[in-house]
Amino acid sequence: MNDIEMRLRTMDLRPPRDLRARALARAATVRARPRWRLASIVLAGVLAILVVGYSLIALATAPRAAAMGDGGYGVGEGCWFVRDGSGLHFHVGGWYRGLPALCTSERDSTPSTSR
Amino acid sequence: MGEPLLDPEGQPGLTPEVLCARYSDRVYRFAAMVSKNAHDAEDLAQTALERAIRARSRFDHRRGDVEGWLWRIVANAAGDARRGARRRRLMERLLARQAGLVAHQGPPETADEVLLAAVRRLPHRQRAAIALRYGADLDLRAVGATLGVSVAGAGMMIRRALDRLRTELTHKEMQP
Repeated sequence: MNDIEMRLRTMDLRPPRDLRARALARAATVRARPRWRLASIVLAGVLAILVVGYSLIALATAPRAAAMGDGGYGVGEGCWFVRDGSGLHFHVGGWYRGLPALCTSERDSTPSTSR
Repeated sequence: MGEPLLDPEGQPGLTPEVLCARYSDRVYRFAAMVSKNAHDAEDLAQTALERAIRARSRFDHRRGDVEGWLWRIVANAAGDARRGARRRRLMERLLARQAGLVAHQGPPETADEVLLAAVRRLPHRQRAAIALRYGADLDLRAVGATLGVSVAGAGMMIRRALDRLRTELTHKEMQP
């Protein structure tokens, strides 16, 4: 063993007297964290369900692009998804009280920034 | 849930108190060598011990011994601390400047302080290897396993770090 190794091994590095007590105290008080984590997971799950549900309704109610009658809206007529011969398409549709409007009879076609 | 935690002799019952009593000195020596200052070293040692205490239920003796399990936790805590330390020091300097305080750390005076300051200037992988070998008192196999390198790789890292320390300390001692 050379001089540097010996000096590294014998270096005077003593921990603070309360290190053990502090570590034990902190380990005993972190039990609240999983509850906080669970709450954020539940919140994220609820938001995901709402977004997915909303998207499914929007997709399920997508009308044909050619449907311009009283019962539905086509491209540029307030719908966020429309169908044509080549399939389902997304385009910016209308708004209802600040939220993307579904293809229902309740809508206003002007984008709104306030709810 | 893993098996009940066993100590290095294979005896059950390594409680948080026993874990702290048995390893806190070595964990602190490791932390003092890898951290940039004494304050960071205390924080790291405390965090590493706390993580080890909380992770006891996940220890499985079939996957390795207590030493390997513990030092992986400590090394991971050191990695996390290193990533956060630069941001925190920047914030502390900013706050100290706003409060009109000037953070001043005197130059190292004793031989141990000079050596510790030189260790703290090593690249972080070499610093971790030195801290595991001489702070935590692990053999080369354990150092390699903790850092994810071979025994030869760990030996090479430590040799290079020792060469660098020797050069730096010799250079310092030759200065008036």
